[in-house]
Amino acid sequence: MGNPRRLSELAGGDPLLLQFYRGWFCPKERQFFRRLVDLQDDAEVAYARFVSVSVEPSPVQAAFRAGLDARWTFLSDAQRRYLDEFELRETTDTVHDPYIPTCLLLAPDLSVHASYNGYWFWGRPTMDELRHDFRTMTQALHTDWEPPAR
Amino acid sequence: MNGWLALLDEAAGDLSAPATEIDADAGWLCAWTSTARPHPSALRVDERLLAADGLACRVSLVLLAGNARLIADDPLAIHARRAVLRDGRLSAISILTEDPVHVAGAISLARTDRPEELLALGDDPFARLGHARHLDIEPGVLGWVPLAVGPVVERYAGAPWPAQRW
Repeated sequence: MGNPRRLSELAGGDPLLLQFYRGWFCPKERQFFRRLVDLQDDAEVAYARFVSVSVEPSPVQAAFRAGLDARWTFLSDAQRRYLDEFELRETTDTVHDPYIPTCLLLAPDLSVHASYNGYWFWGRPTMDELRHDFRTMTQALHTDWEPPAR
Repeated sequence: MNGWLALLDEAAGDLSAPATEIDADAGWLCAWTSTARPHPSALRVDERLLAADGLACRVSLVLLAGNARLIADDPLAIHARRAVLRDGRLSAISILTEDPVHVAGAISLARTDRPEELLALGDDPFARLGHARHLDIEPGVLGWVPLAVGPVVERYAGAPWPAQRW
């Protein structure tokens, strides 16, 4: 159940935060999502996209997303097809078999601008770091970053 | 090239299909792909909605009179876009525009074989802006693609949201 999406379509022409998370059960994820939900108010007016990925089924993600008040796309890899391809299988959790918490900042061509390994909570980006990454990528994308001269 | 849409009394445009409203004739939904405005009643639409091989669908169509159009940055219009993203609408959607500033209306799609999408049409966030007509559209004009991505609610250089390219 769900809609197939292409990452290039989801990025469009904007910088993209691609976030892999363990699942709703993890308190570290819930804490981090609260920060992202705050940041989405800025992203929604600043041309930056978010995509979150987990191994949860789509209906579980939908419920989690609604509870968070998140307004970005969640992708489900319930079949765990890409855990190993991305080398992001969290082998220490044999119960949920989830993704290793990871944040990638992607340019519209899907090249990786920055990567944060969130296995330990303090490895995750702060919102200031994400702002800095979005600023750098947006500046590189738009030739009119400096206002045009008269 | 831009996408354009109009509800007319007669068939016109690159694509067209009969529209009915509660089983009564409601005219023709007509669509164009062109740079210039092809018809005095045509409004810009996210061109990804237009599809010659589109299926039958039901739409929630909000058309605002010229003196009842909000600017796209009006909080009411922004909250409608935010609600579309938050609620995870099952149907495709596009704002309709006539100029780079105002919202001239909106169209939301539900596939006729998807009861959950038909139900979602009853809670069209853009119905907050004006009266929403529910029209059944024959195949050949509108395609279904999951458009809304988020969290961006701003328009891209005046393009009809959720068109997401500069």
